[in-house]
Amino acid sequence: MLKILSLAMTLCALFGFNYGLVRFFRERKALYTRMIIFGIGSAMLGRLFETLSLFAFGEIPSGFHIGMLGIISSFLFFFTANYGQMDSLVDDKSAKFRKYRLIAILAPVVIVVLFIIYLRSAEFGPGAVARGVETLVIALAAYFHLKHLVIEDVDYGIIRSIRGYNLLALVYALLCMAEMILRAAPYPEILLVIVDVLICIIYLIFVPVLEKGVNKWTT
Amino acid sequence: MDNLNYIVFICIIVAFGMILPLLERRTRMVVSFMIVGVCCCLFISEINNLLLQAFDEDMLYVTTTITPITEEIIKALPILYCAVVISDDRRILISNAFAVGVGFALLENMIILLQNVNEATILWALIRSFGSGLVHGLCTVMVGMGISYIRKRRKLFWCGTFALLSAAIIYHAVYNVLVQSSFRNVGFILPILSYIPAIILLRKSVAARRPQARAAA
Repeated sequence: MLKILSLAMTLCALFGFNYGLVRFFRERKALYTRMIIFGIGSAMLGRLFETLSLFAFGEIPSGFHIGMLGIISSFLFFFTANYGQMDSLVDDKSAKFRKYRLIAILAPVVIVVLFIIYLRSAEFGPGAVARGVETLVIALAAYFHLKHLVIEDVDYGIIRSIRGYNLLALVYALLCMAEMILRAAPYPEILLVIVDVLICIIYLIFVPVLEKGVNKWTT
Repeated sequence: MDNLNYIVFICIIVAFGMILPLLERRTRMVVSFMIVGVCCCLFISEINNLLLQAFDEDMLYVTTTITPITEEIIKALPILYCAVVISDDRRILISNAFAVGVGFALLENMIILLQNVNEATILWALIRSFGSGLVHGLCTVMVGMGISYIRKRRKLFWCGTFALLSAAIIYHAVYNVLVQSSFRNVGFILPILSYIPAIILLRKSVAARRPQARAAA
């Protein structure tokens, strides 16, 4: 079952990546969108490694493995896209936006709580350290996703039009944390199946939702 | 007998070093980066031996998880140096990156040949050359191409460099996983399948730029 789910996630991420390449790279769209596509590409590579490990050796290495790098760099891209490209447009660091910054802290707090739950069932070692790094990057990205979800809109509706994408990315961050917990502990397998199916759906609709939002920038 | 790795290294380095003064500037740079790739391989072979001991000689784990990281980081350093100090021109970076990868693969294949000298055949040589030679070349080209793109975009530099390295590491690890599994044949075809579209894309992009360059001149 795990093999099929892993393969499905790889194929869905591959679809999302290719769809993004066709939609955003041919016409040289905004750097913000291209960074998100690179993020999905990184996630796809990480999933590919996990799938190959499962098919070739029957298991994903229990400690640190290369597939983790794909997830880390994918969230690093999401974080840089929001922090580097979008945040300066929507937040001028004034007191007016302080409440949104405070609300956004909720996302990393939830991520850290989920990591603590993971640590309760995980063995301490290089794998847990790598998961810690993964959590840190996910938390950073989640902060900006929540912030851009709740913050007041700026002129031309730039941030409002991509709220759907930010919501999906936030859910994806939480699902990645849930997957981390479920893989480390003997929870019922059905929970992992549900989480992985949801991740598949997100990979499939990620770019179309982003595209729908971004198209409103120019109309 | 002295360490055979060093003997092979000297043979290659001296031959390449001797022709350097005879070459044109651009070709000399490419051959110099090939020598750098050979040096990287010698350095990493020592590091990998230490890592193998540190991980209780678990060859499978080390080759699928640890060596892709160490090798790609070491191979990326000369490319980063080239981008920062010499030139961030895409064509120069790509040719130098490929030279580092090929130089690396050259010594690596020699070392593996010396370790398995009784099992080596012409087929083995072909598979190793097309397989590992292309994997190392493609991984460094991936990093070189990416660096030429992100070097001009400061906000992308750190995450971009990390992500590029990750992509190269994962690609390398995928190859290592495949060649050590029952999907060995797929592993040997993978680099060729990646090389052909990469070459077509590169050729197309060069052809597309040529009229622009002529117009600018």
